[in-house]
Amino acid sequence: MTIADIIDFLQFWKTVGFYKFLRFFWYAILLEFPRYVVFDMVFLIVFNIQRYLRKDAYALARHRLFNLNPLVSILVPGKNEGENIYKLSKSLKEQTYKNIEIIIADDGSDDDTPEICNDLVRNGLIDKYLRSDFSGGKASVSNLALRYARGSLVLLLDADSSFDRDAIERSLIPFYLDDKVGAVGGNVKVRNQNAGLCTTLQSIEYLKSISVGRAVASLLGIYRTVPGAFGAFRKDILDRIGGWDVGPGLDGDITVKIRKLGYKIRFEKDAICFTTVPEDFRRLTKQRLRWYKSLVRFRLRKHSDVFLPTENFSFFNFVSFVENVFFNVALDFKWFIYIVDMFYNAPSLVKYIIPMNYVLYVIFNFMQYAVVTALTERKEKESSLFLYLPLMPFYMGFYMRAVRTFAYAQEFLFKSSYKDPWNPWKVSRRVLKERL
Amino acid sequence: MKFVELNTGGPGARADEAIEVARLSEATEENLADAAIDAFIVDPSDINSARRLVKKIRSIDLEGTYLKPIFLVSQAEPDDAVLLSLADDYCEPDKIVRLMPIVNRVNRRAERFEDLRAETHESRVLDHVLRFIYTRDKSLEPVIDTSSRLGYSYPLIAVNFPPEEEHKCFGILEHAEKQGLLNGAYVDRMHLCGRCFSSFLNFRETCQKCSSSDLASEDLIHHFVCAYVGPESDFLKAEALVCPKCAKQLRHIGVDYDKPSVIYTCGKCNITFQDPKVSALCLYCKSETIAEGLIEKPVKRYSITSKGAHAAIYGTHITMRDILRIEGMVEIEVFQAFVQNEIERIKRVEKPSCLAYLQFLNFQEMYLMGAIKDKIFPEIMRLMKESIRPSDVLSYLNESTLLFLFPDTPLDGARIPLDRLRLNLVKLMQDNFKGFEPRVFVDTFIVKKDSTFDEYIKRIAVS
Repeated sequence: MTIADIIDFLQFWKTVGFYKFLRFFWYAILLEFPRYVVFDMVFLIVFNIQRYLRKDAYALARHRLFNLNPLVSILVPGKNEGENIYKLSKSLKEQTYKNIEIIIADDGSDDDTPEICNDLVRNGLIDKYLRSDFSGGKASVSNLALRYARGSLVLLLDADSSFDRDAIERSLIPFYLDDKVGAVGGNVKVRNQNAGLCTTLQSIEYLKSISVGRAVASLLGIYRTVPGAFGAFRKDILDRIGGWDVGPGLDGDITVKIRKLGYKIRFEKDAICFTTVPEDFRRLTKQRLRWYKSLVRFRLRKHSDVFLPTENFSFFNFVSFVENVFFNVALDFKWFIYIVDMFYNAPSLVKYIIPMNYVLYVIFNFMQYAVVTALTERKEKESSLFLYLPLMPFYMGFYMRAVRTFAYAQEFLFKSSYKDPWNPWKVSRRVLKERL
Repeated sequence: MKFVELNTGGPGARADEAIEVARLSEATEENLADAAIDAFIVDPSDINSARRLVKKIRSIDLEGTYLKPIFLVSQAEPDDAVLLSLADDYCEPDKIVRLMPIVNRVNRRAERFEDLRAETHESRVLDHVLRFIYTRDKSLEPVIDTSSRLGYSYPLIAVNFPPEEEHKCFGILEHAEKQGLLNGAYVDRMHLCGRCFSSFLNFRETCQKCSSSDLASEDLIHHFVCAYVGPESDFLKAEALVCPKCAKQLRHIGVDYDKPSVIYTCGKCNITFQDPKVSALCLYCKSETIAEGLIEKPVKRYSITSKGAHAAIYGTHITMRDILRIEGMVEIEVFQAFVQNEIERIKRVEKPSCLAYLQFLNFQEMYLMGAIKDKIFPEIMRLMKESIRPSDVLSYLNESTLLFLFPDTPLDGARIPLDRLRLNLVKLMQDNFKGFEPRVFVDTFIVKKDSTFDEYIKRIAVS
């Protein structure tokens, strides 16, 4: 690319005019910009106003929490997580909220996890170690832990997570702010941010889509996935819905089930948890294929009744689903139509459109990241990531889009989530047969 | 040949031309020690009386008595493993002449035996055992004996100890095997109470928290379709299994559901858990120990080795030197050379050096005492190592005496660490062996320029 090319590129867009520009980028300007950039900016303002207005109510809720001091059961399902459990138990003992019972649920580990956990029980670092001798999937061991949990509130954590000292306290306060809150999602951030390009890009993605994205969704009343790495639930509600159903995607599924009962789901930006993300693109692709397939399986199949005007119809659940499906599935397929449209109708202009498209998304990313930086409690650490923002359109727009589309297609056509080795075959086979 | 009947009313055994059968009016130690007796005859019809007599003979600490053949004379083979193990053979009353070859072989082999030098009871017992199995060409068999608190017993050794000390047989046999005197072949494994060495243990699963054995166990059920997991009682509805979450009936294990584990509920403190502690209640001393805290011992059948046969003839004794191997230890000749060099050096530079000794008189007795000894010796070696510097020289003067050379060290510089070592050793052993009084002595001398090594050795011998 020469300077002449750049001048030519700028000259072209100078002469195009607004309407033609809109013709080329209507979906970005009319849909994605408002949803992901404007909303974020509005949220930044609303969040600060709301925080100011609710300051006293928040302090009162915190007071109620510590006054009532409910027992909180911390459930940690996992397989072969022995070496993480010790660190986790130490991290939990540092929490400001102390009335907790730690229950480790082992999904048939075949390493030294049982020895480690039994030792931790003997030494009082964990309260209960429950073991399934053979793997039954994450949902089943989570339910096993739930069955023997004694707390009135339940926290579900990943074994490889670690927490800010006040994370548990923060995740519990929303229950005392509003009695209709059924579950609270914590703010999951990336611990291994500097392990490589793959984890750095995921860090930015998490900050945008979780720290800010879910906060916006929560404010709009359409927050739909309490993360499995850090989520708080009312025990009576979990008992009522029978705990978790077979995954993958059980985090989103259980959130929808709680929403359907009429409870609110909240995101707590200041309940900070760090988790380890895949360090190479091969593993990341595998993880995301599983996540994206679950959107089709749960939103479009299992919970498709949300779209129907039944007696249990809820406007917010409807909007939540429509927003999710529209921005993830519909726009995803639309992108391919758009590419074909461009190549078919304006093949000579593609060399101007695609770079401009990239430039637009880089600008969007910088704007979104400005909101992230304004909101984060770790400004120094996270603002340094802005250098990588120019790579994000490629990461999200091309790589993630390809993975997502492939996952949707696989799930639509072959129901391939049922064959995912993430669940044991004995379980998947029955679930598929029962068409669940 | 003279056979003596011990517990029959009259001559139960029929005499023969070659065998005179007599009856002993009273089985006192003095009577039993009569050198003219070639073998004893015991009537096993009263098992208790027979056992008492046989045990008494085998426990007498006289060469000419404990080794003598004992025969059980009865119409049928006696049904008592302990008795059979202590006796040489059994026969019908009119066939005692068949026993003569046994007597002859024992006597022939015993003729070669030299006087024993063993100082302690345990080492004398080992000598007796070696001599017994050497003269009989038998192996030492463990027998199941419910009257012994060990459960498995080596009667030949057990007769030498009161019942509460019978476990000492393991120390003796382990040592003999380690020294290559006996060869052990695995028979079984036993667990003993860590407090009283009884094997009469009631093993049971107990609560992790309160140690109660009042536990109820239930299978956990995993319903595949809805991922519900809970105890079987959650699913039981009349005779059927019905999932409490999705109300589906569970019909087929492996297809609809599985049982991934078992869960226990404590009847006392009501906690639930999956990994109960296995603990053992000792039926003798009533102490409760977790399984890992029990003493585990292999039960072996022992046969004598050629080294053991040699030891049977000439005697064996355990020395401190055999067991304690300390880094930097030198042979006595080398040690002597070091001392001579030191004397020469002192002549030139006039800086004092010290020579010291540590004597542990009843080391052998301690060695044979108990199950914890293997943990003690590394500790003793550590204490000794800590008391010396790399420049100090160590050697064994004899089996119970250690020599130390502290070059370029004043008297206090040697005496203080050595006294501390003595105190630590005594304390260590008193803490670990109940009732054992260690006899450890130390003394320190200044090496003088006009002295010789032999003079010091003489001084040590005198002191």
